[in-house]
Amino acid sequence: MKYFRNLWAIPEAGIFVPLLVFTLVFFSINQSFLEPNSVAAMLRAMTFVGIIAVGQTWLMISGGIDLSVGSVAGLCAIVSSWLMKAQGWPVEAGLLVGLTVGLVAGLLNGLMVVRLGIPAFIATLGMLYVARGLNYLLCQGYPIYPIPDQLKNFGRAEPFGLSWAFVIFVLLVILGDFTLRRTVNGRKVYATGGNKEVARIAGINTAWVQISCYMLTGGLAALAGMLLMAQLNVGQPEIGVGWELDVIAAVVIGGTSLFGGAGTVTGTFLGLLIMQVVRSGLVVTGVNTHWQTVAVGVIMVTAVWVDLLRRKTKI
Amino acid sequence: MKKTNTLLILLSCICAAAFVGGCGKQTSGTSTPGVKLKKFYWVQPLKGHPVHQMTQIAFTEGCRKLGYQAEIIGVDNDDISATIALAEQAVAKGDAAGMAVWTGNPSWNSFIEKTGKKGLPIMLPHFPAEEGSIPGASGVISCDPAEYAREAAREIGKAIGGKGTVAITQGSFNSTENLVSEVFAKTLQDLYPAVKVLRPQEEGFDAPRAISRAVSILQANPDIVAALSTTGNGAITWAGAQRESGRKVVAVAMDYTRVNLDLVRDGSVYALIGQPLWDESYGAAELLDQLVRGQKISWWTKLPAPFITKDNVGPYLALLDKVEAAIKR
Repeated sequence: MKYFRNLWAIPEAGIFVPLLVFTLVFFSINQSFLEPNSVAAMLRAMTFVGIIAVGQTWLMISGGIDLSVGSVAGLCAIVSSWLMKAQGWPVEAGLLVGLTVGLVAGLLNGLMVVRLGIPAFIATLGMLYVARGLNYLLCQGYPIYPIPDQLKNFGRAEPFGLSWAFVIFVLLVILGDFTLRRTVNGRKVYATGGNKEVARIAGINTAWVQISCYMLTGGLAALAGMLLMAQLNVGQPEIGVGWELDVIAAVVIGGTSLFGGAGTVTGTFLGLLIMQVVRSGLVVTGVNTHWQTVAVGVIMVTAVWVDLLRRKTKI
Repeated sequence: MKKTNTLLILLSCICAAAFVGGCGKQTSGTSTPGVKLKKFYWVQPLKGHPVHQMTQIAFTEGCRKLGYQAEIIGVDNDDISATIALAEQAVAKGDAAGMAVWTGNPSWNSFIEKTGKKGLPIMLPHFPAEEGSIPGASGVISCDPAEYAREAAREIGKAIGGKGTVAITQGSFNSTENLVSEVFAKTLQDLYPAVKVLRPQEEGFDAPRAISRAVSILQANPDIVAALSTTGNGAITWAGAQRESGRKVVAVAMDYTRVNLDLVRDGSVYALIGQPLWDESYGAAELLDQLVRGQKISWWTKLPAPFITKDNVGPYLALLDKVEAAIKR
């Protein structure tokens, strides 16, 4: 009994239990749910939103939020593919500029929130529109196609039966979680989100912590957008549309507080997994397509509720 | 202090005068008698969408050839009320000789009725509608979705030898895509009773999620031999799903974008249904011109939607070259 109580006390257990239950339910209805191809497809599908979610977890723990991530991902994909295709730039240079655009967007978000005092919700909503508009200005709404073979081959490669994008995502999860939990910089992020004033008095440069978290999120959004561009072999102007809600949902389901100061990257990973398991599981089990949308909402709320129960039990 | 107030009042007067001057003359929303209006409006939500861009260029080309000015109005998302507001502003300017409205949504009906009553010709491209169902509209120019759905059923049935399971995915559930799915399923079952047609699934517009959903459909139904997607992104979706699942199906999707045509050429996708996007948009300008010149037109100008396979992608690539050249111009 004590053993289970200890297990239940692990922060991610509240999300892991519903994840396990859903997986077993879907598997018992249709065994093909856990076939290697199916699992690989689920993991690949959560990769791009997942990469951004790593940055968003850091940002939300520090007390911020970024709604512009989807649009920034789309803009960076279009900027880099436009430079490579229309301007004939080398692949490396195109990718570097794409990444820089993401970092600059994050920096601007951070400066607007921290220096100008504009609420994060409004500042990043503004950036969402700006980035989406610039995206369409650049490509005129048309997909940029084809992209260089070098990038196409990278996008199509299947290391370990998955994709390079997924490998990068897993490395980011491990690195992001370790840095957040085990390094001084990670503790500064928790301290800033937990109580900004106390953190400042303790000598932490809270402004820089938050700005750097915005830059990290912007940079990862750029990376996700460009990786999807490589995988699709086209700079699609629609890349990233609606991602912001998926990213925030995964982070919150994963146990990160909307008010900052609490959360883990591992939790976010499990949050992403639970969303993907539910989405794919409902298709595999043959649930009516309209009911699937209802079920996704209900199951997400249930998962968070189970996590809240766990926290209360712990107290 | 008095001097400052006087200066402020003077400055305000100058600003007000500049504002009134800048706004130009107020118009009542109807044309001025004796002045020949030479502008056609193209109203369309999601105006940045690649397929929509093509239609806008076609309409602009049509207007240019006929000696009209073309103005494209619309918003970047699919917000109907915001698009209607823009259309109302355009009508209020009073310089419209005609308008083409890209919609299959009944929310537009009251605007079309109100504007039609003012005597402005309104063409509805792309979305078929029953005659008399949209008061104020002058006519419709489009292909017949029911007809291309039937053709897709015939072609897919032939390609799979009349047996197996067929999946259907839709970008979203709207009147046109629902109709295509229904007619396709019915025709396929009538022609090939041994074929099982699955209920349509929503693939959405986010590529990774759409591919993952298509893979799940393939995993859940090991006997799937073909798939129809009723949306333009469906080619990428089903090509990706085949690659990820290691399965091969006869995939058919919509719209001849360059990416889609290349997927047909390399065999990832069996065929595309070529909605006559260029012809219906260019044709809308021609029909508006006929209406302006007092000619009668039939309610529905029906256009064919060819089935594009590996053998006939050439003309569509040439058409895309033309569109891209127009964009550069």
